[in-house]
Amino acid sequence: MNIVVLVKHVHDENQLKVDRATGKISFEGVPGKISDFDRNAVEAALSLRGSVGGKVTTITVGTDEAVKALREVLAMGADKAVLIKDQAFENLDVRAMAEIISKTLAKLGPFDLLLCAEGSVDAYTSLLAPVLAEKLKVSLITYAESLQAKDGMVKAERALERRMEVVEAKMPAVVSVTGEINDPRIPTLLQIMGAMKKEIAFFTIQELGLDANRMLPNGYAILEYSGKSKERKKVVFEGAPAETVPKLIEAMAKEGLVS
Amino acid sequence: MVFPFSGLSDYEIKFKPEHEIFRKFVREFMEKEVEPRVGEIEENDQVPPDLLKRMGDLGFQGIAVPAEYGGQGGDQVSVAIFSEEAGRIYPAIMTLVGVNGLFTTPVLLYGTEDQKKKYLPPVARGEKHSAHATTESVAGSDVAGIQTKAEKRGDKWIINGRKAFISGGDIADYFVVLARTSPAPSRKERWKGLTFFIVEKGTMGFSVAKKMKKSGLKGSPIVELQLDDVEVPDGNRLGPEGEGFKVAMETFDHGRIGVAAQALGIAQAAFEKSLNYALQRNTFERPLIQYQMIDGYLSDMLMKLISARQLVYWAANLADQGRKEYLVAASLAKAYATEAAEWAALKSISVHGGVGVVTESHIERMLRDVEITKVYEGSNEIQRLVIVRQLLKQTLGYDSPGM
Amino acid sequence: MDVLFYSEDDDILAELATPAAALAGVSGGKSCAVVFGEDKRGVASEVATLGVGQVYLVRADGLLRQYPEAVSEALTELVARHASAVVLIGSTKNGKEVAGRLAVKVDAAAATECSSVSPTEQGILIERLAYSGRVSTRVSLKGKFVIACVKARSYHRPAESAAASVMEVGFSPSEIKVKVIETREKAASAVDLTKAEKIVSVGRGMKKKDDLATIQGLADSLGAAVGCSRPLSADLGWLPEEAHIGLTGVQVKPKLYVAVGISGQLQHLAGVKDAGTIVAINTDKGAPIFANADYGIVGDLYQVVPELTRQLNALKHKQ
Repeated sequence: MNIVVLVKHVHDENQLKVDRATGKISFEGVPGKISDFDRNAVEAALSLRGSVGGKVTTITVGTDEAVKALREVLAMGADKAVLIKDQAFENLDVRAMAEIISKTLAKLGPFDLLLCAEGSVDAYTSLLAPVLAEKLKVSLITYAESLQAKDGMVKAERALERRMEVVEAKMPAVVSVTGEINDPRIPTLLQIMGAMKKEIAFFTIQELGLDANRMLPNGYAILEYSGKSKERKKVVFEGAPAETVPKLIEAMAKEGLVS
Repeated sequence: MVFPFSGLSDYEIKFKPEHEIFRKFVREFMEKEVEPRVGEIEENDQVPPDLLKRMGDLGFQGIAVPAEYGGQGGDQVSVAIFSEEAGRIYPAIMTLVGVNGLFTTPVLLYGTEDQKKKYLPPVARGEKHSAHATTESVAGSDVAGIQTKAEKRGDKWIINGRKAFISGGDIADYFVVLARTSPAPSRKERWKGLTFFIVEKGTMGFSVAKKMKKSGLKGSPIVELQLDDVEVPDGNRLGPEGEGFKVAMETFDHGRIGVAAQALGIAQAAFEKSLNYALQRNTFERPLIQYQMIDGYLSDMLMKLISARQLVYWAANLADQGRKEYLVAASLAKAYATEAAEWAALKSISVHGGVGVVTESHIERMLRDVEITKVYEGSNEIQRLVIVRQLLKQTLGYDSPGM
Repeated sequence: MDVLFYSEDDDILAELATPAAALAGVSGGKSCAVVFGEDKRGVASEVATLGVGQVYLVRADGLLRQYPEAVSEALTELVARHASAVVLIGSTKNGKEVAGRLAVKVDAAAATECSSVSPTEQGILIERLAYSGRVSTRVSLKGKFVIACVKARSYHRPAESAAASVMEVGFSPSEIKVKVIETREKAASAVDLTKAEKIVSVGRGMKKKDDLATIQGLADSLGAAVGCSRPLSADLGWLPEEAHIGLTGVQVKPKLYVAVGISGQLQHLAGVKDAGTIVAINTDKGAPIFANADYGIVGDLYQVVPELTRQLNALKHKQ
């Protein structure tokens, strides 16, 4: 089975630089990481390869920094990695991103399954999977909590707000997975060192036959980032429960939260 | 020339991308799989078997063992990275791995091919546990002063004695045991006449006599071992007869960087926690971080932390380059990092105030855990001797036998 | 610009009538509710009274509502009837899938997890969180058609007014690629945390599943629902998935949120950004939750929670 996994190298949200007074965000010098749930998608791919055999290729769109994320995926066991290099990838809206990925997939050859996370931890739009599936005109299963593949069909469980569904679709299919689907494996040092020798293919947007200038936001523009959040009172009571509890109740009563 | 080394490039510290990736995954293991169980381990003074198995499965027990013997084929920088990340969350985890290193190192350095093939793979893969038994209640730093004896009878050796402070001795399947096989030729040459033997658990006469309670590094028990007419074949002799002292010294040399890194991890944790607390906690209506004394502690902590970091990874780099000078660097790193960590742990209690001594905060634990790092693997007093003696040896060719 | 709005969830559908009317009013367009399924005639009549310009009732088997493929196809046909439109969809899992599909079908810019929508010259301006809730952003969407998935409880349903007309539209989907072969409805008793006014939430500070009784005791004394951080539902399975509050779980807006034994990781906080008052109980003074709470008690939850419950109950009995 030919399995493709999409991953994204994102700014680590825990290390963003936020000016407390103005709420201004700086991304400069903020370390990156592979988006949290992407590793679940990789694990799902590796698991399937383990049971039905095949090849796992990972793709990412990003700057050179994204190589780090790819090496981690290779260390986990992916066979091959592809990086589409673009400096301004963060400004691309999801349709442009999907265009780039479709062109890449065309270059790589047919796939049976395309896996990705339910959303990336930076933007968490959850739009890439449906947009891609629609573009590629293949089956789509989103929010998969379990995944099986057999005889050209893929079967998954989806946990929706009020119900669980079991769904089935013909491959090729795009499947987005949740963090609940598995526990991503931790590679050993030996596997990590082995990953350094595995192949990473690099493409630019031009090499895919796309015009970078025409890929700019298509009616979608992020106007403002603000780190300001609702100012919390941060009143903390310390001491024995016999003392702190009445103080808390008093505070809550003042806010009209307890009678 | 930048004495005692020949030039600036001797002080270079280099990392490879795989080092950072390895660090990230070790950190993930420590934060996700160990940290939640720290309370349980402290309470039981034991690391649960499933966690030990997991460490074995992840290859942590054989980081520096060559791949041909079932290990990961990693370098000293990788050992340091693992040790630091373990030290940052729960130092005992590092010790549980370090003690296996004290077994695999002498086997790698002095073992026969048969011994290597038999003993290394199961230990490197975490399938079997091992320990190093040199220390006795009468001889710690004074390795040559041990009283355990081994007498040859035919092609067997009969060992008698009692070992103390043996980390990991409670669960070990294989031990390297140091015994005196011939009397010292002279007082100056006490170090001659010692020999290592590989002893397996269950050998008649070989038993774990007692588990010793200690203040820190819970989860890494230490035991006393009793040897009563323990019989081992000559095939279990490790290294040349009478040269065990050299084997011991080289073994401890190899383990030094790991301990230094373990302490580095403790210092790192102390700094992170203190900084975090100073940012969160208010006193007299202002956050702690706005007070100069606290800033002073934090700055001093950072000075020591980064200095220790440079020493540890510099020593690891030199070791990986196969340079003899690494011995000086490793001793510098060990002495400095352990003392820096102790200072940081102490000051983090000051920063945290009352919270610092509350068990659940895990702040005071850092101090309890760090103390032994100054003592084991060559006490800091010994390190200070080693530093000067090695320095003289490397730069002036001055050879001081024994220690 | 006209506005079309849809959600498979009737409550969210009603809520969307408010921003729909506001957007339509400013641009001089019409707000049109979309109700999918012959089984929802009642809902269609009800929505018609919520200040909309029109209701489209898609005449199709109600079961098809479970298929984002079908819903997006129907929406495409309806959207095509308008020269330009803003499409508002409830930001549920299926809603977001519908939005993604629709974005390609009608070539529209789309945004999900929006907490507000306001009109601009050429489209809309939405607000949404980013970076696991650490950052709030304002995004402008322009074009002939634009799509915004709006979160539940971002708006209140409007007051009733004169009923608009309900236009029935026939629809049959072309190929459906994904088959739903089994459905298990979650227990009716499962509380919808997005509607809870008060929530007591528990995290890793709790040591055993049985200790939930202590948490429930506090919840009862406050008249609150019980939620949790991700480890307790996903890793430990001590609470159902619906109780998981966070970035990938439920986002809640209660008046009171009590976080017990929760450290305050970003991905959890993303679920409670808009809570009225946040109270934290945690043994670790340095836990990030305290910097993100209004009131906090540093202490052992096993002592604080029973005491708090006791005193709250005593207060109640005094009345």
